Amino acid sequence: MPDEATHARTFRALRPMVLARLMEVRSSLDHGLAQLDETGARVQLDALLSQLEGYLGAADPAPLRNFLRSFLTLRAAQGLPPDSLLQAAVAIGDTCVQIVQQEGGTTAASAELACALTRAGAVVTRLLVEHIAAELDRRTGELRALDEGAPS
Amino acid sequence: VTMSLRAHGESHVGKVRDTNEDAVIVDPETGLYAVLDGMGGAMAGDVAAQRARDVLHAFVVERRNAMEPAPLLTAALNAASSAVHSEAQARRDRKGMGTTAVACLVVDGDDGPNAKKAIIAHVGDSRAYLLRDRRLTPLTRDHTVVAELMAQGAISAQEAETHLYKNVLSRNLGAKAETRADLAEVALQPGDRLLLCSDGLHGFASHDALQYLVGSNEPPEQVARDLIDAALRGGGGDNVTAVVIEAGAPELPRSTQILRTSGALAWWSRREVFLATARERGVAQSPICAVLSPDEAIDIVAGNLCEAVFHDLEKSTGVNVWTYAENLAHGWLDQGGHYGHLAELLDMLAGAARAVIAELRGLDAALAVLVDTGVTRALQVADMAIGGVLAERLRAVEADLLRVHAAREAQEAREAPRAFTETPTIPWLRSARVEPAEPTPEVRAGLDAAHAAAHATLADRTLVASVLAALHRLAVDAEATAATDAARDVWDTRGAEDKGPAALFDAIDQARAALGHAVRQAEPAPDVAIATLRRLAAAQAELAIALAHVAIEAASPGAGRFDDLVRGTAELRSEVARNEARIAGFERRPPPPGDSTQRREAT
Repeated sequence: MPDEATHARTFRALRPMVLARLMEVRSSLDHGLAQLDETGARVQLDALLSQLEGYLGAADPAPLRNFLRSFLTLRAAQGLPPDSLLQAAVAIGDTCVQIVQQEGGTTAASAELACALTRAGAVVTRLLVEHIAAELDRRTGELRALDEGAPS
Repeated sequence: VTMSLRAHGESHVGKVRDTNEDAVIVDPETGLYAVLDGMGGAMAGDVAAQRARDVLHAFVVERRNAMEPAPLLTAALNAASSAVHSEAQARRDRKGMGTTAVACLVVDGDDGPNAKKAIIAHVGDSRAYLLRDRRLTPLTRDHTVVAELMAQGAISAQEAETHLYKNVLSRNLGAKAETRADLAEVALQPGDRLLLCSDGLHGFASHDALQYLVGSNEPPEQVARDLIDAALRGGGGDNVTAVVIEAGAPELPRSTQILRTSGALAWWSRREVFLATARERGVAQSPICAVLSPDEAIDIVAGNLCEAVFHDLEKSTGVNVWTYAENLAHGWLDQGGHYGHLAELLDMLAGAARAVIAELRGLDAALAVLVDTGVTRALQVADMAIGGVLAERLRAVEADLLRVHAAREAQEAREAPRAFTETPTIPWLRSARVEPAEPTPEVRAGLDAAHAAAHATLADRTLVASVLAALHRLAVDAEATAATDAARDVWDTRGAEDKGPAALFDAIDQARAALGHAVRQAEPAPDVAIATLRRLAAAQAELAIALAHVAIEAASPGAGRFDDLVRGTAELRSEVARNEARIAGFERRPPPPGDSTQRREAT
């Protein structure tokens, strides 16, 4: 069975292909990415892929989570609604898995890597949902305070 | 091989309306498919849609061999508009009637009859989508007043959500004798699916739900029915119509085929393992199951998920788990429940799934990997569905907040014209304020005084002090690069306890509150106070965005290269250790007979 380091190495080799595909479809992933120039979008997507590679290599979700907090804050500051963020993140994960399946064929190593990437995608999804839940709590509290006449 | 097409259309009156004012065309022989949504219940919307449908269809059938597809569709929609308009003018009871239309004409592609292309024309807010590689992409842009204002940059997406004219069409068939249709063209690929629908579908089912349903491996007949069901579950507040066109059957990867058969069965045959582990992990003790007996809790909460996962594995879809999780989330959140309990429950169920996979791994490792992937994906879908429910609620709260803030601003403007209203820092209620390039000397003095006063109260916190300095710098400096420089300075002063963006944004809020307080305490002239607060608010928004950029920059591949070096060094170290071990092995090995080195040493 391939270990984490092997997954990370294989994914690193596929990253240019994944990045090229993501660049092709970036306007359907996230309108914030579509508005960026090519270099800007490439840097952001590559940063995300780099983090996914790190996760595959270390199986430690903490650095991925830290990175995603920043990524999310940026996207939110650009006005992207949270459910669009969720869709974009899942679409990026799906694209990674598709490229792995397409390039790796039916080998056991390819199946293992697809599984590891699916897990990484699930971590990303959970983090985003936690973020949306926290934002909902914050906004609900704010609304309650306004209703009760407290200063905003 | 000729690309085969399959298509199906379904329409439903919905849960609120008495009549169905939608009309549909599914004509595989001509290659024409359309959805029309009539307008004005009392003004014969159903008549408009049906009349336009009949004219559109007849026009295309008669002229399809004489005209190019795109001009043909445009002319057909004009003919339909003219017919509806004439009828509306002729009869008083039909005055004002009209209809939307989205029409798709599938013809041979540019590479010959084995390829196909779809020409899409639309007027109004009925939509066309393309599903390719499991992604559903809109092919049309609504012709609504709000969409056109957004396209011109006059309003934001956020303002569009609550705009008074949200549902007002800017174009339709029938308002005038001629209409202006937008056109799109798609070269179809095997496995592509097109969806045409009325706003009764896209207005009552989320984009995610549409994507999952259209992307499932069900045939178009079932997909169209599932789409209608989804809109009805979402409230069914309008007539709902969907046409699904499939260009050739998608070729399933081998792994998907195995998962759909052996994988799904392997999962289902271990249902008892799943339920027993769910019980052990405390599913029945979750507050979400409080009203259920332990057996009911396991049976309903764990059993239903197990079954939903089975069906989704069997059909390579996510719709069953999606529905399960969406219902669970609505049920729990409607009674005031907290998201944390939903996440805990899902984690317990994920633990139960891992027990099934562990058992399977001992028997068939390759199949276990596929099932693991499928089940992980299913649980991700559950998270997405819950996220969708939360996002929907967040939008509602945002809309309420906007209303409350707008009312407060309006009231303050009445009471004290040109008053300043504080707005929250990030992210969704940000309003762009245009400030003069340079502050006036009075405002500059106000900013300096506020900075000094706030600094005196908060100087013991390095990060907040750094934010105060950054805000002051941004408020007085109009340079374009000032925000990035200021954000980098703030980023560099973070202490060990300040990691992560949350600490940064807390610091911005604290600094903003202190500065606002200082400005008010100084009691400057009202105009100066307002201008000072506005400059600070703009600075605060700029700094928040610039900080987010810096946070991304810090995690970019440039920073990642360091990690690569660390990884590379670790690999080299292992290689050196392996080589040293090999050398040691050689040294320990006895020399072969007659080895000259041995002889020399013996000598």
